[in-house]
Amino acid sequence: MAAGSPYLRVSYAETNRIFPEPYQRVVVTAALVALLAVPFFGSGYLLHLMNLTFLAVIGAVGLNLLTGYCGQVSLGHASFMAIGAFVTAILTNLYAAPFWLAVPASCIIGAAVGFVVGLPALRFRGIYLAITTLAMHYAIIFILTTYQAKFGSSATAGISIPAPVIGSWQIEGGRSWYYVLLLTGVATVLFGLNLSRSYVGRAWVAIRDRDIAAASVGINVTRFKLLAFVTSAALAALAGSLGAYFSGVVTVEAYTLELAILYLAMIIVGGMGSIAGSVLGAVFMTLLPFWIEHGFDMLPPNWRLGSTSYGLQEAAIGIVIILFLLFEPKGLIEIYRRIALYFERWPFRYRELSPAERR
Amino acid sequence: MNARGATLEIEDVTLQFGGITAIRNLSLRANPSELLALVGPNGAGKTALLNCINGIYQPTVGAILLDGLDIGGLPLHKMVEHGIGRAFQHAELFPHLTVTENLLIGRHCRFRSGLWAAGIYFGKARREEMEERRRVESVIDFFELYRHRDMQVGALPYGVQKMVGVARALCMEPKLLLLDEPCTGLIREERENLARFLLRINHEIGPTVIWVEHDMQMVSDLADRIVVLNHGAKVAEGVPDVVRRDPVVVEAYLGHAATA
Repeated sequence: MAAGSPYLRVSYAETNRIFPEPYQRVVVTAALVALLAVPFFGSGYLLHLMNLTFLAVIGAVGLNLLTGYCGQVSLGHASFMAIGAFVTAILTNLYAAPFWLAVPASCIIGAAVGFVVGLPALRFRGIYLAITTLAMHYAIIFILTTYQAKFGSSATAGISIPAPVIGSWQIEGGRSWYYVLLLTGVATVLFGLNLSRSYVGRAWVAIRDRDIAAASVGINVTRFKLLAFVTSAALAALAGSLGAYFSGVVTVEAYTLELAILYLAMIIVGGMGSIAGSVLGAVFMTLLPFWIEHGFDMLPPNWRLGSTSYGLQEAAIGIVIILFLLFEPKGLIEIYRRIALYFERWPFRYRELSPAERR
Repeated sequence: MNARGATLEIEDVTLQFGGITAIRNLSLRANPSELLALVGPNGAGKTALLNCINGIYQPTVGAILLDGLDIGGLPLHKMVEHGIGRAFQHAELFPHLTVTENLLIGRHCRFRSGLWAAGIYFGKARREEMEERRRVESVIDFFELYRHRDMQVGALPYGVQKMVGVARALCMEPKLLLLDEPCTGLIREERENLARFLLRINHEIGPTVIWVEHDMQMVSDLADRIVVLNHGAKVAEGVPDVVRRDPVVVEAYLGHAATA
């Protein structure tokens, strides 16, 4: 291959790049430029949807590091987000904490809770771990419900949070939030991608694949399992804290078990053990209810379901999980990989062998 | 990649599972940089002994000393830091990672950067990654695994997987290398390659090797000394020529036909 060819790699730094192929770098740069430009022509509705998506991306990357990479099934993700949101609410209301202090503090408290929730993972696996995280979810939500009933403005109205201020810039309105959440989302994705190509990510995958072998090659399984829980919970708390600021009000009712399952759906749909997959899944699952709504709006008026379409949106989460597990268990990212492989091999094609040929 | 061989002393080790005794009052010694073969029929306690040395099992009675240090009771993941590298009978690789990544996991203990540095991939974390990659490449060279470098391990043929397993153990820069039946399931060409690698490990790198094997011919040709186990106890020990003629070994392992 000629010197200077984009396919010739001459250092380990080049092989270890996040986007090793030149076309990937072009596409990603173009996408980032497009994302930066969206607020200049996008409607308020579009910006709102994208802000919700960015929040989901942060949470989904966090969950994928824990469940997709380290293999620890967690139903506690919504409660980690609730922790982030409530810590933010308490710090801003009781201590008038500024934005730059409340967000990191929420992450740290979230991480501490993640550590505690992660302790049973040292003993339990799979479905048993899922049940213990479920119990933790309900314990945390119970505590927060009690807190909200006692100290909220009323039992159901939740706790309001003032719009955050950085220096003299008040973050208010879809456009300001768009840039804050875009920046945080991109930073989270980069953090996840870097972890996944470092020794930490490799250790997590090793624990997921074979934990005894992982220990015997020198991986401290206890430490890295807890590290996965701590990292994941911190990112969930980050999403929770920013989400609380973004919506301006914190109610415990927002952090249901359905939310935890929605996040699991994101990483199943996007692709377990893939950061890019978490992004795709977060986009898909966040926009799904809006697509369903639009779909119904296109029907003749007497065919529309009105408010009952909400139930359909909930059911759609389950249906989508089942469909993906059946037909595309490796998620949306696998579709991308297939397309990329097609062009890599073009004009040749890989043909699946028939059972007769295989014998 | 030059490891000093360690002395391994196994002192009167007994391993019991409930009423079953897997290893019975076993004592043996492996000298520095020695290629010590461990043979015996199925169920003789060979793998159980490796599991004891490796820390997967704790001996019921007895001590295991590595360079005079009692390593009994140490947690499993500490063994690599103490210089014990192990290749498993069924390779036990991480199927979703590539060969290079599997070997990098063999060097996991060398990484010193924290979570933040790894997540930002800057400075020390980045340098470490390059440095360890360079070392892993030298092991890939050693085992001639170049063309499998970026393949997912789960997709590789069994023989290559076992070679990667040995390579991963060598990535740990062990003072004591434990090989559990590295030749089982290999075709003839792969066995010959492995024999060559074993001799090169012994001569060029120099860790103490404990090699569990069934192929008596291969063991006799390569090993410095042979220890024969049967029913969890040592029945013979010595240089290959002596051990092969030992009547107890012939009875327990080679069968009566060999005496004829």
